[in-house]
Amino acid sequence: MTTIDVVGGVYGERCAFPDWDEVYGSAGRAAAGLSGHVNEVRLHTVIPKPHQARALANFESFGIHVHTHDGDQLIGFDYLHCLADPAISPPPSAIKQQPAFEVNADVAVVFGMMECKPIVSAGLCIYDPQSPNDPKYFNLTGSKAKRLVVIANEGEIAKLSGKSGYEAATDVLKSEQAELLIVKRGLDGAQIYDSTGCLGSVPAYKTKNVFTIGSGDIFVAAFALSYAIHEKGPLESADYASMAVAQYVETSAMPIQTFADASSTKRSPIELAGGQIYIAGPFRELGQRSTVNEARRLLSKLGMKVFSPVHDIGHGPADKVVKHDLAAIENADAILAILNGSSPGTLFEVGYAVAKGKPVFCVGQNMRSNDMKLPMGAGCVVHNDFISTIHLVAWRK
Amino acid sequence: MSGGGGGGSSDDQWRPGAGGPVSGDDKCSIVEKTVVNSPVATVVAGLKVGDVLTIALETHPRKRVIARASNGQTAGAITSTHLVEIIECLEGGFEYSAEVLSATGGRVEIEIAPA
Repeated sequence: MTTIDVVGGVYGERCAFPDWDEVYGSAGRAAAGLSGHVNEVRLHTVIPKPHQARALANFESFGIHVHTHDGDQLIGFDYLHCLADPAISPPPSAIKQQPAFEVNADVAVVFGMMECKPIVSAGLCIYDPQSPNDPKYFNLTGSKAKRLVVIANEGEIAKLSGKSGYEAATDVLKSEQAELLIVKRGLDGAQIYDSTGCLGSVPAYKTKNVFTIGSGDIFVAAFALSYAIHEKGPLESADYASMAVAQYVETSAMPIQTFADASSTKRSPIELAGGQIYIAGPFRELGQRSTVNEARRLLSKLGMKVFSPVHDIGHGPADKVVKHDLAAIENADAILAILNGSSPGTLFEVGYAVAKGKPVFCVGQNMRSNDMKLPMGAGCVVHNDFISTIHLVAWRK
Repeated sequence: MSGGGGGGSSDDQWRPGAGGPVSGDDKCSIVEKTVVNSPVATVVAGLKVGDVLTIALETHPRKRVIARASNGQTAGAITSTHLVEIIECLEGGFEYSAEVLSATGGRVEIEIAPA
């Protein structure tokens, strides 16, 4: 009989692109991810009574046993796209703290919560502080564990320790008296530390779609399954967790994939290609310009140099600007084309780039299928999701 | 289903399930986008945009709402902020279908609507 107790927040999540309207939160997602992998998944959380029936129906459909405590507010996160900063409702300063509840478990997966500080007593605890602004040490939450694994991202480790890099990781490991510390590093994978230092790292893997909301929760759940239940080693468990994340990021589906599925799925580690990217897309309306701005920001963040006609040339008569546009296409390593809504100018740029042998990646939202025939037939990569396309450009071969 | 705003402003209360009944006096007239969970790889691999799935209620070993392909095979399960209503309506004999909106890399987005 294997049981995992998952402790943490259940929150509303809404994303406009891609469309997503669910109630998961870190603990809810981890519990859903673990369902079917152990005999029993128990989810300990706070859900206000008026929202319990809706939330429980979903969790019970995964076979999760929910131990819920009443609360005042259902907290929710609202994203324009999955890498945008979310609007949080209610605002963090207005979130009311709920009475602590206690959980005793053999194996616990514990996430920091916004509205409550549960007291956990566990044989083996996998802890994620889950707070970019105010992460808490596990051993200062009143909880205790005979064995502790801390999984946190680089920002949280830095916040906890006041240091950075190797020094921050070893400092947190020592302060927590943890047997392992896993540093989640986004597209750079994860690093694994124990008392002897850095044991190694695992990569993040390429996917066909990129949906990042909750990907870190899946990492924690999969690591817990491998390390705590199946007693696999830290590096092997971290690699399985990274594979499980890739599967979730690609499909948005739960439960997490099995060990057999993970080992039979061929995936390549992410290697960022860098290079110069030309953004082709209309920019004369607010929405169009916002999209170009966001594409420029995200491509830069992913290590690419970006040429954006509106930013790098500006407005002007055709005989002055077009030759610069075409020269920039010729100098580019790849093209990101925002085809949304059919723009003749953008399609011209795509055609020119194809003729020059440039790899072209198209975001195609709200497009008639007939308008997509030429780009698709010419070998352009076409995707209907903005964030996915940005990443396909980032890790192109 | 309406989308999100993201960034900056926020409301005092989260309002889950912005989609749902298109007519206020009929709780079963739900139109909602979601993704297929617990996907059956061999079935999902054969799905393409425009395919119509049947939405059904499975009661064993637990109650869950599933999507079936045209050959009757289960493609996967669905979650929804309106799952309570969908289950009640299915139990009452109401029928739903789901159109495949996108199917890329194992991510199957569907739109559930009254059949």
